[in-house]
Amino acid sequence: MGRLPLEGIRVADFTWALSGPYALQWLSVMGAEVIRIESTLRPDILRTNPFAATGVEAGLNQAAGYNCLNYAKKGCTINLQTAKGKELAKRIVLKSDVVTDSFAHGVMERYGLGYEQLRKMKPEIIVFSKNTMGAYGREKHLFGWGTAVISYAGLASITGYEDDGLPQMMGGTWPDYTIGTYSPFAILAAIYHKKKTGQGMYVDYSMCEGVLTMIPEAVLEYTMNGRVTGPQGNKEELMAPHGTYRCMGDDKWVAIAVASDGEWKQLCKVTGHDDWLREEKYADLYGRQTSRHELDRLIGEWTKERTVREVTELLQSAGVAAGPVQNSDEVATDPHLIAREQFIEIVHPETGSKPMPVLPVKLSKVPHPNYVSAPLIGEHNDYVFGELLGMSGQEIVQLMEENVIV
Amino acid sequence: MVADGGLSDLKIVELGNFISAAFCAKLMGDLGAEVIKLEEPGRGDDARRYGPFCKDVPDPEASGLFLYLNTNKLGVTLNVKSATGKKVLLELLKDADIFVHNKSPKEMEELGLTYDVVKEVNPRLIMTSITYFGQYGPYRDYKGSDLIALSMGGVAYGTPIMVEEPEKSGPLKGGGHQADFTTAAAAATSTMMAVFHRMLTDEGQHVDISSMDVIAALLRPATANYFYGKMAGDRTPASRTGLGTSIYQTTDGFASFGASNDGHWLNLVKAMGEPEWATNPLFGTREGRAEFGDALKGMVADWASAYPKKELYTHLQSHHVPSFPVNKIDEVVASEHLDDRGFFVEVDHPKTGKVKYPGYSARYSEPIWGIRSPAPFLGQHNEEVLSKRLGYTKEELVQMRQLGVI
Repeated sequence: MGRLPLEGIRVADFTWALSGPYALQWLSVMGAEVIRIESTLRPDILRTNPFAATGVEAGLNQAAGYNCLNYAKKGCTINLQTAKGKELAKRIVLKSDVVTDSFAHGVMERYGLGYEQLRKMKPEIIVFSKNTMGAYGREKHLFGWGTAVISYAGLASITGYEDDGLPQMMGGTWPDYTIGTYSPFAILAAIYHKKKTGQGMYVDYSMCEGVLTMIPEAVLEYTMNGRVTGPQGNKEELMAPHGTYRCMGDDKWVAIAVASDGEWKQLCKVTGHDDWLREEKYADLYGRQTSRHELDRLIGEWTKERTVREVTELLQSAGVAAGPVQNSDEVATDPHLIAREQFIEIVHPETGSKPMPVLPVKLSKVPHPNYVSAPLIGEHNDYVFGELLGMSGQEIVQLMEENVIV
Repeated sequence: MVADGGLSDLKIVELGNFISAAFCAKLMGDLGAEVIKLEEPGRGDDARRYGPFCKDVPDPEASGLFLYLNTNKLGVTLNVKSATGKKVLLELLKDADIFVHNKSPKEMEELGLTYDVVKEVNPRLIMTSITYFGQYGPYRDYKGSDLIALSMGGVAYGTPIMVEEPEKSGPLKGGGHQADFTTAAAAATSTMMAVFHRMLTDEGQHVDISSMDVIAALLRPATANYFYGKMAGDRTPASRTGLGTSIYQTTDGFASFGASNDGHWLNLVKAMGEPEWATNPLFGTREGRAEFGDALKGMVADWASAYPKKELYTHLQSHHVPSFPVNKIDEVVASEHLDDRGFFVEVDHPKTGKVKYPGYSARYSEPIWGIRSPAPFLGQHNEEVLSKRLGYTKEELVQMRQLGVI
C-alpha cells in the first residue's frame, strides 16, 4: 500500500458545509487522521440535504454532497452546548496536532477552544480558523455563504457581460471549492514549520482575501493606474477570438481560444473561411481584438450549424484550443476525466457503491490514497472516546444518556 | 522573518510561463522558499506582456501581473532548448527540492525534460507538472486555456448562475484567470504533499496536476448528485428556485444576500418589516418559496432597491441575514476592514515605485510570510545564480550570452 504523506498527523475538525470539509479532505485522503466533531442536534447542513440516494426521507447518512466531501474522515458526535461536551472536545483537541474551524467569530473561544486558551495547554498546537472576513478587522463579524464573499472581494464586479455591465456570481458555488483547494496549502505550511521548528501557530484564514489574491490583474490596474475594471465578458487581452459559441442542440456551447496569428490561420483553414483569412484587419491580434464582437458573430454563425464535438475535434486537430462547455452531468461522464480516474467507486454502508469525485492530483509515489467512505453520523464514537480518550464503555453510555455524546 | 521558519529550507526551480506555475512558486516563495525562475532569453515570461502596465507604458519590466506573480524570486534567463542550457538546468535541478513547470507533455518530451530524465539527476527531486489536461488521457495533447478549463470542467456553464434567455447569453469565464489561479493553488497544496512524503521516505516524485481535473473537482457535490441519480438543472431562473444568494440593485450599486434556509428566511422578513410573510400560505414554507420564487424575488428586489448598499447589508447583517456589498475594485482596495488586517502590501520596485499588491489569505501568528524582494528584471540574477552557485566564470557567462544560452 505504501506510506501516505500525512500519516501520523491528527486533526480535530470543527468545520462544516462546503469549503472547510473540502480543504480537510485533501489532508484526510493523504493520510492525516481527520476527526470531525459533529452532533445530531445540529448536523452539518449537507447531511440534511433533501436529495439523497434513495430519493426519500433518508436520515443523516445518505446525502451525496456530504458523502463526497467527507470521505476518508472519522466522525464523532458531541453536544458542545454542555460543559461535559466542551471538556470532551478539549480532550480530543489536546490529542491532535491541528484544530480547524469555520465558526463565526468568538464561537471557539466560547467553547474554551480558542487559540489563546489552547496554546496554554499545548504550545505546539496549530489552529486554523477559516472565516468569511478573517478573525480581526472592523468587519470581522460579517457572515454569509462563500458565494456572497466574491461580492465583497470584487470578483463579482469583474464577472459578467460587457454590454450590460451587471456584476454576476460564478458557477460551481464559487469560491467555496477554490478556497477548499487553496487553503490546505496554508495549513500544510504551518505543519511544515512545526516539523522544522517545533512551533505551533494560529492561522487566521480569510476567504475574502483568498479570492483577492486571485484577481491581481484588476487590483493592480487600480493601484497602478486608478482604473476600475468592470465585467469582462469572455474578453482575454492576448487572445482573440476568445469566447463561448452556440452549437447545435439545446443550450450547447463550445469554448474557443485563439492565442496566435498562426492559430487564427489554422482556424480559417479548417473552417473553410478563406474570406476571413484574406481580411487584413483580422490578420493580427490587435485587429482581431478591435473587431472581436464582429468576429464572435461570424464564428457563432459557423458553430451553430455544427455539434460541440465536431467543432472541438476539428479545431483541436488544427492546433487551436477549443472544448465543450459542459454541465455537471457531462463532467461526470467525460471520457478524459474517466480515463484519469477522477471518479472512483467508494463503498458506503447505506448507499452502496457509488462513484465519487477524487482529489484532482496524481502523485506518482502515492498510488493508493485513502479513499474510504464518509463517516455515518457518530460512526467513530467508540474509537474516539474509547480508544483515543481511553474512556470505558460505561462512561460512554453514561454520556450518551446525559445527551453529551449525541 | 525567522531564518529557519516557514518553507525557508526548500529550493525551487520554476520553468513557468504566465500564471499557473508562477503563482504556485510564488505561494511557496512568499513563505520563505528560494525560487529560481527561468525565462526565455530576450523574450521572458508572457505575463510581462500582459499588463496591466504601470502608467499604461507597455514595459515588460512593469507588468502588474508579472510583478505580482514573481515576488521573492531570482530571475535567470536560460534557453533550455540549447544543449548547454539544458545542461545548466539539470545542474540547477541537482541541488533543488522542487521543479515546477507548466509546459505541455509534448514540449517537455521534445526538450528531453521528462520526469524519467530529471529523477536520474536527482532522485529526491519533486517535479510538479502543471498542464491543462494532465500527463495522460485522451485529451492529453489538446490545447487549453483558462476559459477552456472552466468550460470543460463545468464552471463556465453555471456562470452567470442564471440567465433569462439561455440561447442568447453564452456561458462565461469568471473575471481574471480563475482556472489558472485555482490550478496553481492545487499544485502548491499537492507539492507540499510530496514534500511531506519525502520527509517520510526520502524519495522524490512526479506530481501531475491538470487544470481540467482541478476545475471538475470543484463541482464535487453536483457530480456526486449525478451518480446518486439527480440530474443537473439548466441555466434558466426556473431551475434556481427559492431565495439562494443573489445580487440585488440598490440606490448606489449592488448588494448580495439570500435566505435559503428557514432561519434566514424568518430573519429576512423581519428585516424587511414584513413579518406576516412568514405565515403567508404562498411562501411560508420552503416548498412554497421554491414554487413562487420568482414573484418573491421580485418583491425582495423592490424592497432592496430603495436603500443604499451599505445601509442594506448592515441592516440585514444586524438581523442575521447573510449579506455583503458588491464592491467594485476601488471600493475593495479602500476597504477599512482589509486595511485593519494589513491585507494589501506595498511593494517597491525600481520601475513602478511603491504599489499596493494583494497580500496573502492567511495571517500566521509566526512571521513566516513576507515580500522580501520585488519581481526580478529579465536575467537580473544570472551572475548570482550561474557564477556564485554553479561556478561558471565571467568569461563563460559572456560567451553563453553571445550564443543565446542566457
